[in-house]
Amino acid sequence: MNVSILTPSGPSPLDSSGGISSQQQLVMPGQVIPTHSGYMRGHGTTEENGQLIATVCGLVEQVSALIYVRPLRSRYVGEVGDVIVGRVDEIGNGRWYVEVCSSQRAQLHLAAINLPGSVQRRRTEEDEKEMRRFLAEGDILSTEVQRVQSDGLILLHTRSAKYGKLENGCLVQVPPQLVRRQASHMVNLPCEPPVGVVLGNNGYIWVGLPQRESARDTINYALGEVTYQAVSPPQRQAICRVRNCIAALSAHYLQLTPQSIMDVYSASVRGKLEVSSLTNPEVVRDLIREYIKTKT
Amino acid sequence: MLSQSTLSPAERRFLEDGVRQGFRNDGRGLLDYRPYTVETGILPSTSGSSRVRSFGTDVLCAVKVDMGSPPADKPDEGVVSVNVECSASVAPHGELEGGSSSRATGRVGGGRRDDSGEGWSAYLGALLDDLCLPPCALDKKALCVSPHVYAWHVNVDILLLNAAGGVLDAMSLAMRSALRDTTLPSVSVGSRDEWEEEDTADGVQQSKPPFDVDERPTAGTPFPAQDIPVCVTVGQVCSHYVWDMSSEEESCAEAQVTVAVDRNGRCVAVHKSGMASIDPTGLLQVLKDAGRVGVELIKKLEAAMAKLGTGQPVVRERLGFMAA
Amino acid sequence: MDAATYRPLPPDVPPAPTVSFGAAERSDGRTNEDVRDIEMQTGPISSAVGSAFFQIGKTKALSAVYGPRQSMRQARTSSSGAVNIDLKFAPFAVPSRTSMAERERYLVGMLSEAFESIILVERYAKSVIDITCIVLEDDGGVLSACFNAISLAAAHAGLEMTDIVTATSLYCMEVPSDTSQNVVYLSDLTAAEEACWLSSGQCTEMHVGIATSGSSICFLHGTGSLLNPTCAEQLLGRAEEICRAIGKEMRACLKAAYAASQNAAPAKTTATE
Repeated sequence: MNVSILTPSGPSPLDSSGGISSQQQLVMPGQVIPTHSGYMRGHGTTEENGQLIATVCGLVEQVSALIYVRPLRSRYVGEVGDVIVGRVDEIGNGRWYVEVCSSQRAQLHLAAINLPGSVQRRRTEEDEKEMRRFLAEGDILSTEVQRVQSDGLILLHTRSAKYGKLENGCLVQVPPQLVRRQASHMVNLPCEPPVGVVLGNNGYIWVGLPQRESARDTINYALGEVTYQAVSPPQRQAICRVRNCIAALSAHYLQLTPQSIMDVYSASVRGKLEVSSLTNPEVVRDLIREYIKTKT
Repeated sequence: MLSQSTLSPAERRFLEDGVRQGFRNDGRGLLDYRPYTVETGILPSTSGSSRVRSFGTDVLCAVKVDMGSPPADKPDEGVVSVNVECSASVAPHGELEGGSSSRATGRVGGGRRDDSGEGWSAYLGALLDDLCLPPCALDKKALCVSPHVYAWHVNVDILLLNAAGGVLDAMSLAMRSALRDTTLPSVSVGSRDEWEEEDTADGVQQSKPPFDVDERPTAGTPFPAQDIPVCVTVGQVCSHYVWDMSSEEESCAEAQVTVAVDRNGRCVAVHKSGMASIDPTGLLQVLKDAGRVGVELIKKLEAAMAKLGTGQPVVRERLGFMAA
Repeated sequence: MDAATYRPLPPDVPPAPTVSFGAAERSDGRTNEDVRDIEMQTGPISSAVGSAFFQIGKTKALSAVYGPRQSMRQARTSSSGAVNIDLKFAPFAVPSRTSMAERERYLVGMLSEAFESIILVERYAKSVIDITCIVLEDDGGVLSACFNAISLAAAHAGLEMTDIVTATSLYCMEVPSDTSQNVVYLSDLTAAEEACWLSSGQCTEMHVGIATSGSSICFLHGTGSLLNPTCAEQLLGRAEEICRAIGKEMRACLKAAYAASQNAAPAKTTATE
């Protein structure tokens, strides 16, 4: 039995050091963004009297001619190609409505998934009635953003071997800004035993048994193939430790990458910390302090 | 935020298997509690206040004392009333409401609270009053200043800022710490011949003695809060008893039992909720464990409050109103 | 509950409010133009997308922003988003435990009108943004305190807005002097001062919300007999000064919060393949 009561201990260890790096410009709503001619206006900005004005608190980013402001906190804003972990909220009209922590629910159309048996054909009414067999309300799945409409509606697809229903694990929720686009979002972390992680750009992260490598051709994957597997105690320990490490990084607003998660994991193992002790904010603070020291 | 009470069958199976193995999603054992963070004395305009946080659950409690008349049927007792209010983001089952049709879009006349939200708050307040302030735990006679004439009316207001599991437990901790932070001012009531005659609305003459209040905090007496119990809630998940549940675990629990335990480990109240029934042997074990857990919680709470200087009249250095 | 009501007061009970000309002091030592000390903080409620605590003098307001999130009602009725503000007074915010429902509704109405023009709702199609605001203590100036708390919470939450908007409350009244009636301008009344002057009807009040990068007025509500151009000019001029000062503090507060989180992130990398 473990019971503890803490008193507040002031700011976290990351508050004291200097300012923002000079390459990144922090702007606030109403602030003018210096531009060159021929720019394209992106998210988080507006135009007034020929000037580009920021509309959110965030950092100015530029990708070729596109200038936008990336808010440091907000709900998820979809972009084509993002990997998303979502929860099915409702089924109807030949599509699944998926909750992705954005201003609207995303949609996954029946035509955008692979059918079992690797068949390529038009979807029929039977398929619509059978939609619940593939994905029911409450199910969690990994998908990719196919398209974002002008009103912000996100359209998803799972036409690839790696996407589909997620089983044998648990979900962690973090601010979407902490998961940037990276080389691979679905990774098996080299823990002892290995742990599978799916990092959704929308801030939902799935931690569970390692993903099976599908031996079959990517097009032939079917949603219904993932099954329940018993999780052994050592596997469960590793999964829960990873989950707590992700929560620790998120509590201190640190970027989540397979590398950063593994570093914190290793630090916690080296420090011989019990998995449950990682629920204690003071223990987490010390662990993150150590992790930052190893990075700098 | 996503409604945590909808879990996929996959997550449910993972969680339940973990419970069977004695290893929960965050690595805790079935009897382990998440750490609480407690602060007291954060609202200087009240008689006593506290804030209790635990992994998302956030409770603010304020105590105000007023001088009033004792109730007609109990002329030698004071009155304590508990009032719970939920922040609008917290719906009856702990999920965040989104676009509920009972709320107007904030124009004039909007801002009404969802009716079931208010009902839930009222129920929580009554439950907390019943579980944590029974006669054996709080001697209301100590709140009486002059029988039939003057008694303290103590208003305990609890604000639930966010719910993420273990709401009753956090509220009881907040209430106990706020009451421990409360000082009842010293009052001297005038003698019989000093009573003044007063004309009331219906012309009947009533006499009320004058009273003098000594404003100095050092002259007051602490509120008699030492015997107030705390609530410990346990849930039944797949025939195992799980303590201090997260909101995911709460959605998997078939039944919940809340036990109010005082500092000596005595159980003073018990309440069951949820749809399933409980096996009596299991319940007896729960009561035993609750005794141990409650004693530990109160011991650690007292230690934290000693560190914060709760109930002492000196001005303490505070880390801002809402310390991290 | 009848008989006398006792409320514990700090040892130094302030004397009755006074006002006079020039630099003479009000009961709490301020001049007529001084605004009380301000304290603000972002992120007190970590479970919300954005949150803020704003304190002016003893008046305290706590605001949190949830969303934007899907709203079926919004999807059906209009193509833009909606802002839903829920404001309540904590039961311990005022000395007497009367129902504040009417006052809450009125404040919500005004704040909603203001923020639906400040937050770019057309960019949140079919969604609703839920904003809660709790008044933890009312010592005067509640409307502007709530306004500032909500504004800071919205900025913290990364909502798209036209500008950082802050608000203040200003008052003026005619006070007889030796020779004639003179107009006295006051900033930021405490609850005792509000009770003394506002109910008598002699005092003109004006609540102003100003976009602090430009100087445009986003929120304006005034009542009283002295709303002539001369007085209005004085009031608005003073309002602009005060709002800009609060805006500067808000920017510093947001910058500090973001600097803390940004420090911890590794150096910016370009998007990987």
